[in-house]
Amino acid sequence: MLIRGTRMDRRRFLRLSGAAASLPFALPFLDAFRPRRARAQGAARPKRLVIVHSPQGSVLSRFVPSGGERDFELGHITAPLDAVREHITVVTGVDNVQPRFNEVGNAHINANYTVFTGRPFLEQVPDAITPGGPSIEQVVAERIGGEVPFRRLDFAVGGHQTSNGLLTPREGAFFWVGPRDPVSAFNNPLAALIRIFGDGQLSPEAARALRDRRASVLDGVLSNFTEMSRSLGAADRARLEAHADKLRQLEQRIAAGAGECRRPDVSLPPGTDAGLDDHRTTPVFNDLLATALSCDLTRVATLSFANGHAPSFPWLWDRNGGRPIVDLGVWENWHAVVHADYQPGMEHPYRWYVEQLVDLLTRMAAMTDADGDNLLETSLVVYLSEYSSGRHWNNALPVVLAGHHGGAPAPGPTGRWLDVMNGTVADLEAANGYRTSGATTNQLWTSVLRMFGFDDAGFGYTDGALPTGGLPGLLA
Amino acid sequence: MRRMVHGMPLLAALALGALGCDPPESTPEAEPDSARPDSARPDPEPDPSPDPAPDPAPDPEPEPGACVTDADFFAAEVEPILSADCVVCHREGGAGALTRYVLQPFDGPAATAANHALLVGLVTDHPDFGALLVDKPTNAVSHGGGRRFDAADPRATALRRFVERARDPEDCVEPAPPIEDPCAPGAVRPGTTALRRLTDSQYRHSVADIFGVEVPPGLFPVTTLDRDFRTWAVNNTVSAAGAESIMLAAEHVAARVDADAGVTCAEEPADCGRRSALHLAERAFRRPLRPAEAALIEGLFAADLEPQAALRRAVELILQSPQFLYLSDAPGAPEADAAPLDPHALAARMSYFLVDTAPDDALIAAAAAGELSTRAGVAAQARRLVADPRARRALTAFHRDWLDVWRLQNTTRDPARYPAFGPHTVDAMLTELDLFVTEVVWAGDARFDTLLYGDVTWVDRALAPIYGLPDPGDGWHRVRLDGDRPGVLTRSAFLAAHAYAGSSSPVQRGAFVLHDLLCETLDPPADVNMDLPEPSEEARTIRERLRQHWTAPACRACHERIDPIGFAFEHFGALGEWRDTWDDGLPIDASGAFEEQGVFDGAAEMIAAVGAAEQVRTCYATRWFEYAVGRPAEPEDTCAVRALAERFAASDGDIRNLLVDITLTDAFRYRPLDEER
Repeated sequence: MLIRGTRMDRRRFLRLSGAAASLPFALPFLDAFRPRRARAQGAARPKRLVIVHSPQGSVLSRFVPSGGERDFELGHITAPLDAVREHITVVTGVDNVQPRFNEVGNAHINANYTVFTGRPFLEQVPDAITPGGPSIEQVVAERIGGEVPFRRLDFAVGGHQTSNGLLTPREGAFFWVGPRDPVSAFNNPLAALIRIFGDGQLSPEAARALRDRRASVLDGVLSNFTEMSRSLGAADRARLEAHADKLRQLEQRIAAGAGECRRPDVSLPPGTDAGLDDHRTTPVFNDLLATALSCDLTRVATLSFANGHAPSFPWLWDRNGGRPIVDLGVWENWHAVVHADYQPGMEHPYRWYVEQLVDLLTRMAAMTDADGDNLLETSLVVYLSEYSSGRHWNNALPVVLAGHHGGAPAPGPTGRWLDVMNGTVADLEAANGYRTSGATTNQLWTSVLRMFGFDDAGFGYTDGALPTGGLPGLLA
Repeated sequence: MRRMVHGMPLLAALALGALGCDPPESTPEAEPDSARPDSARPDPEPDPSPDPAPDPAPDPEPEPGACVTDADFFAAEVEPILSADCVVCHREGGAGALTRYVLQPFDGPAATAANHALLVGLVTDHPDFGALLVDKPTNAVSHGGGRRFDAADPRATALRRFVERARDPEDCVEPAPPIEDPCAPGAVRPGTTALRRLTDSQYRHSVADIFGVEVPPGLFPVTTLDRDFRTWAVNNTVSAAGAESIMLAAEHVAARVDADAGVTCAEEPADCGRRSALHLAERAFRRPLRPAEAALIEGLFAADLEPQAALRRAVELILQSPQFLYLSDAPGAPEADAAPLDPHALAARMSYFLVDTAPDDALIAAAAAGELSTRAGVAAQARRLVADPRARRALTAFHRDWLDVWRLQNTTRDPARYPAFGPHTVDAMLTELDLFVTEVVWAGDARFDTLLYGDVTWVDRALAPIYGLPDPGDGWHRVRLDGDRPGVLTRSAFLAAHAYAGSSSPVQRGAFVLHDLLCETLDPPADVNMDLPEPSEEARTIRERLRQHWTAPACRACHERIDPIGFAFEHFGALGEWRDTWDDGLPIDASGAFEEQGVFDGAAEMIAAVGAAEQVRTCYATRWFEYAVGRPAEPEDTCAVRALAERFAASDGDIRNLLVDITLTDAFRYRPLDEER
């Protein structure tokens, strides 16, 4: 049994002396104790960015609020957000205009590769379609990643399970470190738990020895990267450098240790299938994500629902009068259902995604970080889908912003509905989705950069003609 | 016979015998060890009666050395192309009317001038248009009108010249030199190359062979399998979490390596660990160590570490080093227009291609002795490896990727309809495919026709009902199927991978045949609504529902080719089980036609009709080439692929021989000169 005061003193000593904390991953953690990271005097308090993504759009007529900017009434799909109403801004009418600059690719890859990157494809070649650049949260991570163990943490709920619990999608990838560097996400909660919080089995001495050995080996590995790079051309050198950068992150993480963090108590019913039982795994992922933020293991995270193709949502059937959400006698799968106009029952999954967002926000509202600040106060959570409708509509995406991102620059008021749509949902329906508002995801992401204190003129590709700057009316 | 309405990368060019290709070098020693008397392959002659490329018809013919104005150049060189290949769609009311490229019908000088002005404007105002003017008709960029001609075609060259002139107008320029023959003998055309990380299976095989340790699946980062081939660089990127996985896998191996791995230490135990580590590094890096690399390892043993601990660190170092994780494209002595791969790099490429693991002693010795600097030397080693039992790994990997059976992972089936379906069913389907491929290609006659038409398969208790067979008892059983079940396309893995939870997918099956058996480009335009209409009184069957969708021209262009081929498979349900009627009792209509002559009813007749097309063999050879070189085939590869296809056809579709031939291509043995190097 460790003595609390001793640990604390030792940690503070190491910090103050400039040495890296030598605490191993995943020490058992006393709930009363909040880890406090020493910050340089006067340094800004950390801010955090979380992106929550659900696939295949929504049912806009049931998503969009009614009423006024402050006295709005949420739609059926967004109604669960009432529980956190004072922390959110619902944004309607933002268009992803980037697919129109592409010459190749089907509708999904056109949306997936552009919605968070704000750029058309870099390689407009059918066999080698490549996104145009890093996605927004990667840009933020590179700027605010700081001295935390993970530059970013990514979670994918459900879908294709791999033997190592890590999903590196390609055609289905939304998040990119660079045009040829897709982000991989933990899609098995137990794998995520062990990889992020450790298995809790090592003694401090063994953990220290392991850390020293890893640091020494990585040192040699990186010198071999340098050695091999010498004989490569520029493109191959860049590939190797992308890999080496991951090793330097790993090296930094090993040096920092995982800090002292409550190891989340993960319990899943026997027989849980991480590929299919999203209703069981999502709360666990939400807990892992919020805990990692509260312990300052990372400052940028994503949570995405990775099965957009054939989920069957059996846990929602009772909301549908006991009937399947996808009637396999009529539809091939969920993907085919959402390709069509509104079908009875379609709203249940879309509302369920919002409920999972609310679950995450509720957890964050109940947690503080090392400075004792509430997580929602210091974070920005962006929820969106790549479409407004599964009919491949890139206009008027469903967006919810939550949290107060540390308060500076001055946030706009929350508890708010910012509507920049061109007309009504009915107008959009009448135009079969082809009705643009003039407000773009590029502007939304520019606003996000500003919320983190960066005054970029814009984000992504603007064709010289699209509006630059932030989303009008969003920030105070 | 003109059938190239839609794009066929490379294949169209292969029909253009006018380009005159390097006849494949005769390699009389290139007989497979198992060659049968009837498999003698004549050195193929270039096709004497190819479909020649229409001449761009320079009219009026410029005098040699005379000045050609931009307008004359347009009228003489460009108008005939636009007139023959573009204006049919790119005109008011045409299928391309909504693009920015809308021509007037060429009906006189006024139209010619207007079209000239339009094109010059598009080229100068839109930075991308110049490239698209060539890339669209060659289908380098997906083109609704498919591939009109190949990138090496004189028409493409004429359009490129037009773009240059439009960007840099001159009243008169000297006539351009004659268009060079892109397949002129002598030139080496390696195409591009990209540094590739080992796939997860290549990693595990290498570690088992070199370090004697089995790495459980789930430690090393998995290879992405959602498209193309597992060997491609894009499917083996390293993420931040993946870098940690590589470290954990290395630690797993290091903890289990024997102290004297790879060396005998009886006579000199003191230095055993160091020698062992150096030996392992050399094997893992697949070449002699460079001084800095050796010094790094020596340093571990010079440090204050127990020898066993030093060896352990050395193994962790080796297994995370790029020299092990990435396939080197290191050049040997450069030649005029390319550099041959360094012999050790070539040996590694051959070994990972053919046996999915690091080079063995014999291959390393051949590389060290310079034997791989000749075609005969490469062919000899390639033939040895193709006959090696380990070749089954590459054969099954290729065919799993080619047939897109990754779609079976985490798949579900409607429990009401398929109560017995589960993960074990998928495992059985994949095993069946592996057994079938192994039997045909490795143990059997290795003929492509046997792959396509063979009547044998393997079933266990889970699969027998799908084939309408009685319970065979435990284990795997070799069975002969009836004539309705020819070859790999009627086996359960392919059929179930191209189906939905409760129904077949004629579109996925038909699209596979077009894209992966015929190598046509099928990329649905981004804006096309691909929703299938709901069942209704007017459209009850999937066939009728798909037919409704044909009313939109944008859908029709592809679906009138995809759907008839897909319907031929309709007797096979979502698991590949035979059925006589659709669910509601309506009789299945599996009839259709492929091209003009190939009328069929059912999958067997369809496969025979499609299989008779020469493109099928060329396409299969192309796909293997792409697996081998780790990237899609490029215009630069046109001549190599043509030569492969000709030899493949001449060898009566001998797949083992094809694999040997691929190791002799420029793209496999050379890399481009890299000025930045």
